[in-house]
Amino acid sequence: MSVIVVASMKGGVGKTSVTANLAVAMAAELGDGCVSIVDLDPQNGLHLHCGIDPLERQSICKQALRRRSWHGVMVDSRFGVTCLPYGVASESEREAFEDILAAEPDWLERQLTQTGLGGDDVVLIDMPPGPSVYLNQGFACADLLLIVLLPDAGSYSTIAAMESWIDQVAQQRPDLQSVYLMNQMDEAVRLNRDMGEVLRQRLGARLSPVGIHRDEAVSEALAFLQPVLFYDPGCQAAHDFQRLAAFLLEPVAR
Amino acid sequence: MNLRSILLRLREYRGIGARSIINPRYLYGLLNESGNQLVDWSVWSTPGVLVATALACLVLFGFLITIPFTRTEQLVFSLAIAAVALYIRRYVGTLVTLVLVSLSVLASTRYLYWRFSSSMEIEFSADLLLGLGLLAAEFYAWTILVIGFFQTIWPLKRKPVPMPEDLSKWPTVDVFIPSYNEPLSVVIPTVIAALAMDWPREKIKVYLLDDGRRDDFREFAASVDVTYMTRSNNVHAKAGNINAALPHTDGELIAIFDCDHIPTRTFLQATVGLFLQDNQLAMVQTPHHFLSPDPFERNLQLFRLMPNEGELFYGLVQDGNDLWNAAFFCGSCAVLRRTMLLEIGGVAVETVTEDAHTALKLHRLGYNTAYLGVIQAAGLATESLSAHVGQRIRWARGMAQIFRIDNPLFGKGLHWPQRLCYLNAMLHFFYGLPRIVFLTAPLSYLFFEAHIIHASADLIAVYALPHLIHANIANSRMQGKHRHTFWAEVYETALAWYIMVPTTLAMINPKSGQFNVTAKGGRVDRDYFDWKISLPYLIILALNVIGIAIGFGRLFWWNSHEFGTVLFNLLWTAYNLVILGATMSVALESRQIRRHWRVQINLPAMLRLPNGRTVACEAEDFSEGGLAIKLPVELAVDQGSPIRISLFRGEREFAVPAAVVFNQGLVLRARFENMNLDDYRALVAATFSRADAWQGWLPERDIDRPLRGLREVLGAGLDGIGRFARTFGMTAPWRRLELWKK
Repeated sequence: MSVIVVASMKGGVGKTSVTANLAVAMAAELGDGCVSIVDLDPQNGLHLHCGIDPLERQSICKQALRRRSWHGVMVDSRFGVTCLPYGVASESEREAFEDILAAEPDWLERQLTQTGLGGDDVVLIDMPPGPSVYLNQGFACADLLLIVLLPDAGSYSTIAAMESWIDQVAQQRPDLQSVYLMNQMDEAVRLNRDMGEVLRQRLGARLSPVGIHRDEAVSEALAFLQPVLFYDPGCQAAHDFQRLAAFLLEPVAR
Repeated sequence: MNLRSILLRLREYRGIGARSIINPRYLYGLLNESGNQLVDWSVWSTPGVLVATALACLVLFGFLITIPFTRTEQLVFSLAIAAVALYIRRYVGTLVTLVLVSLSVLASTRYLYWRFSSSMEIEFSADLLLGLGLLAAEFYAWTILVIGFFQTIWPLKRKPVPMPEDLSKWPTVDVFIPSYNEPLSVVIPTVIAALAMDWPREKIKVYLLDDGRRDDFREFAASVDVTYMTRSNNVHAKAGNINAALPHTDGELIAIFDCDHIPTRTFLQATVGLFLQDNQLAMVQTPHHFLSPDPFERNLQLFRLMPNEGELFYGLVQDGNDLWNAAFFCGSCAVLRRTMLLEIGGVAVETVTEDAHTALKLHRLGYNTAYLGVIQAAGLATESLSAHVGQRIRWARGMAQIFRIDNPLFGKGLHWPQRLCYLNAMLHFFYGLPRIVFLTAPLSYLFFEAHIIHASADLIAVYALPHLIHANIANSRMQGKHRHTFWAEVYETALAWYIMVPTTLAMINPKSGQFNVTAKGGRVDRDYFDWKISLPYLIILALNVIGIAIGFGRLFWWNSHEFGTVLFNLLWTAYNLVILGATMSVALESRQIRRHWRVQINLPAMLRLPNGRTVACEAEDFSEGGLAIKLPVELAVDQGSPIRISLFRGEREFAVPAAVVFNQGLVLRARFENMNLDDYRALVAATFSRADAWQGWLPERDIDRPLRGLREVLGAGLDGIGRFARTFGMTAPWRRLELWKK
């Protein structure tokens, strides 16, 4: 099993849609049922991208509080991806869940092992923005950390913090790989283009050679509760996700 | 159905693939191995053996050339050497080429010797005068053939020398882009591409040398941080323009680009290494590559199907010259060393081909030149036939001028191979008169019963045919990749009349004639027949047709006692008719459907639509004006919609603004619009400036097969006469009158 944690220091960079769409692209490559997405973001938005009923009873948060495994939470979507929603949780439920996470640093790892997913399967985990107990769990068991950025000054300013954080984690997890991903690129906008260049220079080989273009189709797809690869397979964003999937799966395949 | 489609269909039908694969038997066969063993034989290193062998061969050669044969003996001899040539020509290797060339020189020299010694009238008569004319033309052709063999016997095919890691060792470079009357739109991509060349920024300066004193050029130069230079006069045209800039600049090397030759980003890194390797090197030349069809290619509709007229020079002749350290400067796409250029007083101004003369002066001082046969820049070909002819007239005139005022056979500093290479470059342009002689020679018999060759037809055949056959076999072997057999005849014939006069005039008075700028970027709006250009050929064509008619009369009635002679002259005339027909084809100017040329790119691309949606697609080709896109699905975008197109090259993206001009099915065409300088930079970087922009330009090229070449020329000849007749019919006054009445 390969675990990819999708994170960012800032909110609103499109992390959730990257998780869902990347998972769908990977599933297209690996086959239905080989890719699971786990929503560890209390905003609970991931399942919408896969067209799963928001009122789904079972959810990660509730199951965790009941000390049950994830088996009942795994929902097969129409798009070849198995989705595990965070679930609707009250403030107190969320706090109780986060207490568990804080107390048991290996909680996520245990859950993942219990799912019984095979060696070729890929799990993508969507994290809330910035430092959190969720992210700490992710650090403990991730194979790859995918950090989503926008080509803007806001994202640029977070890189230093992100890097020092990754350095800390690397002391315990030297095998943890990290890749930065530029999302919502638009070469036609001057600022966008220049910031993109600055990011490229700053990050060098740590930046994924494949970025995701800004594309209205991504937002429209969400409104139709679909991943963009199904909503508009011919658009550039769909194309980018496919290339990104191929790029990330290459070491997995090896 | 045009010629191109017929050719393509014919090839398809016969299953002739794009590239011919050589049977491995001929790569590693017994003959190859024995050849290698012969070359590696240790005896050669013993002193004197090589010289003795060469002398023995020379004696044998002289013997074979001069020994008198009866008709039958000559026939047997010819058949024997032809059999050898036809057998070994399928094997690869330089040794085989040398053997084929030797056989060709043998057959041709034997023929010429026979012509001199046994086929001339001895008593003075009109026949003798005409015969001497033909003999002189034949002697000229023989000279060009033999020197040409020498010139191109072993093309050097240099590779670029890598630059050192240490940037401080890289020399400073000035890039000169001279312009006189070309529109700014032609110059912008060149300047931008020059700025985008991979070179340390502080070591490269780009200069726009404007001889037109134009304000928009000055403003553009300022906007892209390029130094603008102009002068108060236009003395000595381009050469003077460059020379005027020399005192105000200081780069160690000078790269020169015509304002419509757009360099790739690798140009300097590919060429400059040679200067660091050889400190006596004065100049590196790269090919002039044309991305639009020249008038020959357009009118014959053969663009990229077979080598064009210029390709022989850049594909073979320059590489051949390079072996002898005699590569010429061609005025553009070249790098010169400043100190050496200043030593000869700057670019030569005495003739209208300043480039070749500059190289000659450098060679005379003992400096080296180099030719790098890797396409590192591209430009537009001349648009119309008359402009093309005008350019060739200038070259011919200039070469004749150099021949007169600075003859390479004499003077100091050159070694003999260099003298011969230069001599061939100049003599080559004197083909006008001999060509006309060959086109009219048989008529002297058909019209006037003049026996200009004083020998029976069968005797002529056993001597002349081996000469022609071997010359074609050897030339096809050496030039096949760069010029197809028989097409050379068409190219030369089309220009013969026009370069005949200026070369002759320049020989008489080298000061006459001025530099005419080659017009580019225009447009041929409709099909038309270039009467002005083709009138002399029409006259010759008409004479040949009449000649054929008379010939039949002679064949059956008036001269049936010398049947062979009539037949010989008839066949010769028929061949001339075919060549003239193909020349007519060239003169029939085809309409240019597009305002601009198009170049295949096949790059991944993205459309960004006005509503923010995108389409991942492929850019199929680009032109100065726009792009053609292959869509994955049909798209509802109106004509005129503003879009952005991104081109992807590796991981880099280049976005340019455009407007949809055509959207049907899966094809979308867009025109660039509202381009600012950043957009131009992006476009040039994604297209012209790419390091691999012109690699694989010739994938579908066929290798030469002489007999097929003959068939093709035959087809073109018939096609030309037919098209000419149709066009003539359509525009004839009486037809117009009819149309007008309706």
